[in-house]
Amino acid sequence: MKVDNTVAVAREAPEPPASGDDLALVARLLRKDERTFSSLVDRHHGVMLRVAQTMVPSRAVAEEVVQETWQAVLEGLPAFEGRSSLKTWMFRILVNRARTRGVREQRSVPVGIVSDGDDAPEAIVRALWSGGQSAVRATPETALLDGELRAALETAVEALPETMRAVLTMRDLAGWTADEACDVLGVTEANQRVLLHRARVRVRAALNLYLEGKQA
Amino acid sequence: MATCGQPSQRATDYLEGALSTAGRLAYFAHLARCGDCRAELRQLRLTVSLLGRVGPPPVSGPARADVMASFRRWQPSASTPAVHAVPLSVRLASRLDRLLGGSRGLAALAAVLLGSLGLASLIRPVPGAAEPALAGLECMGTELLAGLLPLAAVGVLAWQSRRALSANVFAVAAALGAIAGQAAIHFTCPEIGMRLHVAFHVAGVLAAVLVGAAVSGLGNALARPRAARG
Repeated sequence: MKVDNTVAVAREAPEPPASGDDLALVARLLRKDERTFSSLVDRHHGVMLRVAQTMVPSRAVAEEVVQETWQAVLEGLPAFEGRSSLKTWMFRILVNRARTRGVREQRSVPVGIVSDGDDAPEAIVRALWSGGQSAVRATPETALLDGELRAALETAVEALPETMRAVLTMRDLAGWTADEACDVLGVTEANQRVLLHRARVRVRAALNLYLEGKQA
Repeated sequence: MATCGQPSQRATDYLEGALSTAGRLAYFAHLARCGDCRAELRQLRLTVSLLGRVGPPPVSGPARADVMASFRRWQPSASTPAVHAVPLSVRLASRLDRLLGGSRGLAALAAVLLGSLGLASLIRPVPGAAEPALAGLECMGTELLAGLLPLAAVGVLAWQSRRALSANVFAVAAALGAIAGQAAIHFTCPEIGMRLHVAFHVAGVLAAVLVGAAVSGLGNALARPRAARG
């Protein structure tokens, strides 16, 4: 029951209820089907780590929070009633734990490499466009990025302030819907869009700098 | 080329599908005139598509092993309603005679209903059953039917043959019924793991035995006067 209390987020917005797939998955987990759990870990562990890192000071602490979250998910699973999707339920547990932990650990806000979302000169914009386009064309549509461009993006994301980074992580890195991100973070739809926009603008500006550097 | 210099929330609102039809048309009209905003939209799209291809960070081997180890240690625990249901149904059953005193037919009916209720409350909270309200009902119905048939059969037989039966006979019938109920639910609701199931319903069998014993008091009370007359 401990879990139920911690995940209670005061939000009136309708939550997407758990799908039949979710419930079947939970039933398999309760039978201790290891393969099911293993694929659940594959699917969510990385994103959990990313989200946790937005709220705690170090990767090590984030790893601990994620471990604790899996433990709490398992403990709470017999009581999972499918009122929200399994994913949002799990991530609400994560966010609650990470936030508690973040406050306790006196998180240090990373210094952004991008000072603000202010506009880059037109020359840089052009550089981004041509540089970005060739980078995109070099990789097939579905392939993951590799190397420097990926590192540049990761750095830009890491430099974002906490909530922006959490929103961007869920929406653009993990491909969640707006509803899911709002639900887990407890922000309104409009607020979520503003955060997402600012985060994207900052990443875009960082990309500008990176691509300009490449061209020079 | 017109410029506006400000990064515009409208670009993201548009990409998110959050603009009204009028807002969208106004935005398109602005894009037609403003190179900055066209570039911004292009780049934001590109940024989103690049971010989507960053992929999740690799999960370290030891971290993964820890999570899997906690899964192996994990024991899905039975939920609490079952624990409460057993003593409640036993307590109520043991008081039936006193509560309903004179009306024996009513007492017998109440005993059956009470037994059903106890069993039902044991079944409902089975974790992992699909939609509790629906799948729960279906599983519950099957188990109840299978569980109560032997008890009802023994009761009717005793009544018909006008013989007083010992409490043990009723208790055994109730236990058999409970076991039949388990078998029934296993076949009708296979998504409920058998292991979980057994742990969960051992208490149900015990409750059924006790309810059966209580019912036997009524059965005997009903049978005795007839036997004396016959």
